[in-house]
Amino acid sequence: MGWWRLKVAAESRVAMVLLGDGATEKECAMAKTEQKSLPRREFLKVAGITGTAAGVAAVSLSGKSASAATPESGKTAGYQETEHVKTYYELARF
Amino acid sequence: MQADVGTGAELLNQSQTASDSVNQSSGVVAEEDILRAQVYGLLSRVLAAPMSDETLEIVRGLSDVEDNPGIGAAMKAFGDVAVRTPRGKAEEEYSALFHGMGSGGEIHPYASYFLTGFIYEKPLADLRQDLTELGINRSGVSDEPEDHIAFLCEIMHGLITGTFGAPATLERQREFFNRHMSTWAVKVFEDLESAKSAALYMPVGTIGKLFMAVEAEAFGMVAA
Repeated sequence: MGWWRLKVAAESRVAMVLLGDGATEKECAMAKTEQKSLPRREFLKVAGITGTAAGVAAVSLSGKSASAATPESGKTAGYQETEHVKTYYELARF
Repeated sequence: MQADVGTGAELLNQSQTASDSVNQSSGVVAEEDILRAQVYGLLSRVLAAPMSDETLEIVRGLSDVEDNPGIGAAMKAFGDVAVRTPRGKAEEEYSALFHGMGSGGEIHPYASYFLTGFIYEKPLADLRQDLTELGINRSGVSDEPEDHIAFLCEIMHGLITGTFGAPATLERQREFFNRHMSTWAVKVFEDLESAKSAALYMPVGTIGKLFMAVEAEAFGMVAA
């Protein structure tokens, strides 16, 4: 019982540290449940991927793509064939 | 127009389990993972085929990206060079890099070719087996091997976002990445970055190189 409480308290502190001083209890609780993936998330943010968001979003939203892996059901609207892509596949054929 | 083109693949079943990076009740993929998917989407789009007017226009928009050190700077550089590159030039460069004159371009972005020197070797066979297990199958429309870097990036994009059904778990993403990309993808991007013909595609090499390193490190943080 005693050790269990200590452990929970320790985890809350970790969450506080990661979220900064302004973290509310609710945020801490959320962070605790996500603790497994938190360091990774922090890392991805620091790695600079987030700064690129706006521009990249535009690319991939319309960029459903070229190599075109699509579900059988056709649920994914996906791929739009263009002359260039057609040309590519003609050129790329061995 | 439905996919079924080129290296196209199709979904056989939709039984993938939800990711722990995914809110199980709402199916919302975490923000960082969406961003990862978008980087994969970008790489896939610009590497699979010469850029269309539309793609080039969007890439030009990257010149507005925040000039953060690392991937951000490379994105911006990509946008900047795209602004100066007419489409015909972009297409010529793509051909020189990936098609060349008759005997192939400077870069052979296929796992099997890259790792073994031959196009239909074990890396491709292993990949095909895993694609089958993931429920993704060749459409059979093209002879293009599936181990093209653009195809692999698209698979990663699809695993993260759930294009092939439910989003894949981080463990599953990691497994796919480690088996099919981690051994060579960084190198192919390094080759692209320093390729003789690369101007527009040089920053693509940089983005890919940096992003593969970020992915490898981030997957290392996923509890085994």
